Formats: sequence, C-alpha cells, structure tokens
Amino acid sequence: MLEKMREGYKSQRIVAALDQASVCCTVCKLTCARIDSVDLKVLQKSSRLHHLLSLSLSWKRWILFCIMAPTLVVPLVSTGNVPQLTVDLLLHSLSSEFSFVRSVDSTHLHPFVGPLDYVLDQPEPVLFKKSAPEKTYSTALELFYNQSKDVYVLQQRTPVIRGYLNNYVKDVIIPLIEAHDIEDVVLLDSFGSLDQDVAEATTLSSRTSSNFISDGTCEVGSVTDIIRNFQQSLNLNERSASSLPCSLFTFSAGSIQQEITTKQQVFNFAYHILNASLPTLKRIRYCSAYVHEGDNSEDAHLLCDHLPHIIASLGKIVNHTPPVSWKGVYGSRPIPSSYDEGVFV
Amino acid sequence: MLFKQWNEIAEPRHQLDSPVGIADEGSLQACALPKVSFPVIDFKMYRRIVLSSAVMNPLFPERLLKLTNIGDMEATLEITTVGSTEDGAIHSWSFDENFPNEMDPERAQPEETRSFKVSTPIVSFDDTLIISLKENFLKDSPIFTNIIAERIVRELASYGASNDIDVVVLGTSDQVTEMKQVDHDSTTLNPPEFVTGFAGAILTQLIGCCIPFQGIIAPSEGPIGYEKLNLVTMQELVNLCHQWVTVDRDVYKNECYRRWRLEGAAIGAQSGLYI
Repeated sequence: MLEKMREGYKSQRIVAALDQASVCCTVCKLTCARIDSVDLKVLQKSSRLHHLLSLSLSWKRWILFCIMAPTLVVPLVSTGNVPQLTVDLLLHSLSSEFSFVRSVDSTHLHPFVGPLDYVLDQPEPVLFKKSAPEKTYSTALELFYNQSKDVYVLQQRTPVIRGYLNNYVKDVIIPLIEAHDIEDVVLLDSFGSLDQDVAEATTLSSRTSSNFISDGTCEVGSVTDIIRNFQQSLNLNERSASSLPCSLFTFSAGSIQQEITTKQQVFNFAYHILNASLPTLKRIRYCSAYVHEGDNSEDAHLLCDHLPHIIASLGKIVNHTPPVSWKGVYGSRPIPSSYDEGVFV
Repeated sequence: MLFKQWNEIAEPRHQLDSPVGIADEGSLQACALPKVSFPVIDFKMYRRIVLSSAVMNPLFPERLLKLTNIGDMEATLEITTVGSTEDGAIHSWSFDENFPNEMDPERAQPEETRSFKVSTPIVSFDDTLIISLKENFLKDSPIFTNIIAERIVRELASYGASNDIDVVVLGTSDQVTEMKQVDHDSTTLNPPEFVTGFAGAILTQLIGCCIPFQGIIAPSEGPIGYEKLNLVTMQELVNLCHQWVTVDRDVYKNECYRRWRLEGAAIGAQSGLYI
C-alpha cells in the first residue's frame, strides 16, 4: 500500500512524510500495519471525520499528504462576478500561504492592467512581493500557488472575448493543467434567476431550497471508463438506467442545479478538458452558486466558506480579508455635482 | 480587482458586449485569430515611439506637425462561414415572375468567408513615431486590440527597443479621476483603478516582454472608441506633449484645442455650442 502511494505521489516531501509513518497515533493507537491495510479511498473520506483531530501531528500531516492532490481553481466570469470575488477572498485571506507564480497569456480576454491589490492593514502587497518583489502591475490572468496545500488558483479579472472561449480553454487552461500535473480542476460558477439556460437545468426550486450552492463532480478516470460509460448509456434496451450517470457531472443531492447545459461556459471547459490528453487529471469539480445580482460580496463569503468541502486540503478560512479593490467594485467615482464633471458615475 | 463595465443598458455585469466574429456562437471549434501585417520601419531613425488610441490624436495635429505617413498596419480576420442547414422558403409561385427586378435568394451564392479589417496608419514627425489605434467597441472585437498590441511589442522587442528608443504610452481610463503615471517600475494607480482598451493591451505586452516604458493614463468618460476628455485633462496633456514638438507653444496649444473640439473628444459643456 505504502509503495503504491509512493508511486502515486511524485513530491519528494510526501515520500519523506511516508518514511515517518512508523510514528503511532497517540489516541487511536493506529499502527503502521493497520494504516497499511486501510484503503486509500477510506483515508480520503476520513479527512472529514472528527477523529482525525485527535491524531498526532505526524499522522495528521501524513494523512493530509495522502489526500492532497494538485488542484487548480478556475473562476468562470459569471453572474455577479461571484467566482472572481471568491478567488480574491481566498487569495487575500491566505496571502501568507499563496504566492504569485506568473502572468498567464491573456490574448483571449478583454485587456486589463492594474496596480497590485492588497489588504488594507498590510504594508505592501504580500501576495505578490514574496515571489515577485519587482512586480508592479497585475494583468488579466494570473496564477498563484499554495505549496502547503498543493492548490493552484487562477485569477481571471476580465471576461473572455466573445467567440474565443474555445481558444481560451484549449490554448491556456489545458496547457496549464498539463504543466502543473493537475489532478483536480475546480470550476467556480454562479447563476441567477435571469440565466434561463441554467434555470432549465435546475430541478429543485431555488425559492424553496435552502442550499444555494450546487456541487458536481465529473470523474475523468481513464479513457476506458468514459468509453464504458458511453457504451452503457447507449444500451437503450436494458432497464438499468438507475445505475448509469444521467449527466456529465454527478451533482450532490441537495444541489439546485442537477445538470449542466451545453450553453454554459462549463460545458466548453468540460468538453475540451475531457478531449485533451491529460494523464494526471482525475476529476473536474464544478461548484455553482445561485445569486441575485447586486452587492454580491456576501455570496463570495459563502462560496469561500464552501470551498473546503470541494478541496479537502483547504481548511476553513477563519478570517476573511477582502482586498482594497473591493471598495470600488460598485463604483469608485464620486457623484458628479455639475454637468462639466460628466454625467456617468 | 474586478472589471466593471461601462454600459447604459441593464445587462448582467459580467457580459461585455462586443462584435462577434464567428459564424456560430455555440460552436466548440476554436476561432481564427486576426493576422497582422506590419510595415518595414527603421526604428533607428526615432528617439521615441508614442503608442496611443485615437482619442489622443488632437495632440498630434497633422498639418502643424507635418506628419509623415510611414505605412499602414493592417489586421485582418477571415471567418469561414458554415453553410446553413435551414431550408429556404418554399413558394408556390414563381419568384422571378412576381419580383422580376429582385434577385432570387435561392440563386444567390452564399458567402463562404467574411472578412474583418482594422487598419492603423503609422505616422512620424521629427524623431517621434506615432502608432494610434482607432478603437470602436461597436465595430471591432477586442481580439484585434490584443493581437495588434502583441505584434507592435514583438516588433519593438526584436529591434531591442529597451536601449535606443523611449516607449511612451498615452492612454485613457474611465476608472481614474486624475492623471496617473505608469512606468515600467512604478505607478500612481491605486486599486480598484485599472486600464483597459488599447492602452491596457499594450501595457500588458510591454510588462510581459520586460520592455521599459513610461506613460500617462488620463481620466476619460464614455465607452471604448467614444471617450471624452475634460478641459483640465486636455491642458495637462498639451503641456506634456509640447516637450516633443518644436512648434510655438501657443500655436500648438490652440491647434490641439481646436482639434479636440472638432473630433468630438470634448465633454459636452466644453465642446461649445457653435463651431
């Protein structure tokens, strides 16, 4: 088992941690042998169990390493810009852990250049200065990395230019997944009651449901699995539909959204990612928030609180610290007092 | 830091309207990118290159500065249209008999390609080269802006622009309230201020290629291609640009103001009621 896990994880740090596996848990009295016999899937599930808290530090670190998978978080520019706000919140709340990796090609996005964003009580933009002290500007698409949690986060500050979504996914997102050996891709999305395309894909009423966040998972597995799934799905004569996937994404029971439509951005993402040759990719997770357009900062806080449910290694963020740019999201200019100052706020 | 659109129509904030250059928006195929042709320019002849959008054209009056046309930079996007699968209208009567002067739509040759073109003249005076892109958010997709900016900066990089030539960016933004300085190593922009349009695209490329630059972002109003500048901003811009011209200050200033009003770049109350 240990050998298998060693093979599965390339990081030298993880191998080093596995070497320390002879340390016993002080509370559960788990020995190395017992842990060996535990299936990895059980370990993955156990990450959310309370008894983990009672394990000794070494074991906790070890199990954390076991469940960690290189993850890429991608916000889709959508209703209320909630995914981008959520990513802002995630990056700046954990600015001591995340560091700037590089600016990513933004040819397919509306142009954007701005100053470095920061949290009000910080003397300098901590998020950028650790890894890029000479950096002065932010561009439309930037990649950040949290080494302790093995999470990459892409911040997209402007929408994709109309007609170039496919180019963006094929030329930017897929090479990114490939370059960083990503196992989990997390797509953050949001929709409102006016998004008719998404409303068609909802089964629960957004008025009666108390859960405003939908979670879907697309297990990529191997190409063989996908082909097998398609073969089973196309077997129309057999009455075994209950065990077959009825949607590309399998949504959790309480989700408002129970499938995706071909008109959503996420379909283009899923289509191109699944069609690309990405040997390390295991699953695509889709997390969509139902929002009302307006001041959506609270929605971003809720979605940020939900992130640990999707990314196991990401613990709960206790203090949410939005960046200073949020002050201008809903208008940064003073109201003009005369006509010559302009008529637009 | 997020993008806030300028739009009078109550549309979702995340949707920015721009002309679409593809036949089918629901397609899963990648769309073609514009191709740019760049004239041969001997950069050694110039001390500075000014990169700006057309709203800054009043600062460079053609006759007064005796601008010389170096060539045109052209960006072309060819879109192959897919033949429609929809059936045409079926009539029980003869089209030719009823509309003898009209062309029968069934006989019309469907166009197989559509072409979009953005042309930018490159001009010069004394030792200054000016590339000023005429943007129009109603007609031209921002992909042109990005590709043109990429090509210009690639040309500069291949020349080795960092040593011999000053790169000056003159841009506007409706997200700033006063003149902002942008240099390769410092800026007076503060979050949530940002720059988009051609200035944003060219800055992105200059930053990416580590080419030293200096520039000014002026406060403006209005959507891309229809920006308005106020009198105070114009005064500051005229003072800034006068250092590069050899014409008498008052003559230059008056001509700039005249062009500013004529080209519709002045804010309503300052444009004057009568021309």
